[in-house]
Amino acid sequence: MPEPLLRLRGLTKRYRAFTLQEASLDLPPGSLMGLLGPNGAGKTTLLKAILGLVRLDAGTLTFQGRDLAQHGAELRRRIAFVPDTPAFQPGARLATLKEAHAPFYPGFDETRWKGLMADFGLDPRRKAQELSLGQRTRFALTLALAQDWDLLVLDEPTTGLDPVFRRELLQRFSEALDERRAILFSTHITSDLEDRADFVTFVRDGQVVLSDTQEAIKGRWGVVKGGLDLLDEPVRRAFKGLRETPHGFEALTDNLPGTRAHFGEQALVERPSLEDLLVLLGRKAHA
Amino acid sequence: MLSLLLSHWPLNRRLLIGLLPILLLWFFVALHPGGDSEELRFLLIALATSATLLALAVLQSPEAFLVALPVRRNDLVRATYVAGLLAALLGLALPLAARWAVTGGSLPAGVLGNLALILVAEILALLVFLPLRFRLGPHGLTVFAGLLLAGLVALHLGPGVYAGIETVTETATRALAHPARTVPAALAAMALLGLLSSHLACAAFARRSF
Repeated sequence: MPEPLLRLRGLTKRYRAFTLQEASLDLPPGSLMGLLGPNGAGKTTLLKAILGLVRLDAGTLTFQGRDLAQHGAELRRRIAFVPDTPAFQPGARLATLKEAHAPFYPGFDETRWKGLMADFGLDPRRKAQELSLGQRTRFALTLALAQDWDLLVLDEPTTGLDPVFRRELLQRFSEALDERRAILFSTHITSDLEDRADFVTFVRDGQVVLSDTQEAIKGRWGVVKGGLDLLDEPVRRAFKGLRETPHGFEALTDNLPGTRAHFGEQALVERPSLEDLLVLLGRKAHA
Repeated sequence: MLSLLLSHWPLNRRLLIGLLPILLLWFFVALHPGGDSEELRFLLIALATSATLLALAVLQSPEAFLVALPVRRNDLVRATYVAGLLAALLGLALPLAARWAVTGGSLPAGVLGNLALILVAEILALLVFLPLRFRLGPHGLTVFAGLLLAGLVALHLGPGVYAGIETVTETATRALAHPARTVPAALAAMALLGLLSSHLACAAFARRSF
């Protein structure tokens, strides 16, 4: 594996009601990593830590092999960011906001920005306060994609977008990747990442519970469905997530071949979708 | 820092342009005879212009937008101090220039000393307000307003607001009688206070999460 473009080690941020606990991950160049987790899992906190928007209690971040805490102002010129709820000065026109934003990013491409504005159906003369959430996200995307970025950080960028635009956007992301660039894409819409993300990281209750290539995850992990009579204590403990109903159970295993061999024809064992993983990973409660 | 100061300009440009007719109206009123003395009218317009531009410079910046830019937080803080100081100076220079242009250079007696007092008062307000703003965000303004109110109440219950202002003015007038001694001392004291205030603001802002 090449040297990671972005490396997080032991990121910890404590709030009163929530803690991001020792989050670690590696993002190699040339890859798209999906960051999946339910609402409130810690995805946004993790992304904000990369952007220097939250003050960490512990942990280190390196980007292109350099410490982001020490060289943040310089390194973040190569990072483009689209927040989940983009905030702009309400009375300012979009062209004015671009004027205030662009000088901080060497290589900001004016021509490209104008093209993106036209493609995304945005008028530079409109004011930020007149835009819907989806339009604000589109505008934030024009600013990000017109930068000369090495890392594109997207916090739920497809929320609030219509399906047609969403599909076009995902295509743009795939096309924008090359061997020096990477994308970190937080979402809870798993279909955005299915067959598109090279790496998938699952966050739950402030912890990174799984981070690997999508190929490796789908080769090793499995969903098991069967009757309640198959569940005993050792089997329960072996599962990485379990959902029980009066009619049976649905569980996650990280040993697909072993589980197939164990249950044989008694249970249905199949490769998981990302949604299966998102729903079941770390879950031990009854439905 | 320069790019940060320049970035404030496009964001505030439209608002500033929108304020121009109001500023021009103030100038017009201040330059015409009325119930108040010429000096008081001029000082009121100078105070109003300067305070407006100062507020515009330090209140308009959308924090989430600026903090996400690839700049050091300390630079954001220092740029706000510099922008505030420049705005206050510009706000005093504009009516002064207007008055100068209309009257061909004559100024009411004692006006420059009172303009200096206004500037000092505005800078002191800035030095108290900005650490609160950088620590508490938009709530900093509420706390600052509370402090101002508490100060006014204390003055009211003590010597009285008018007597308090008169005491400050008399002290300043006496001090300005020996400008060679008092002006450098006052500048040094302001610089020290400025360093302390910006240090507090930087430390407070570094702890903020967005």
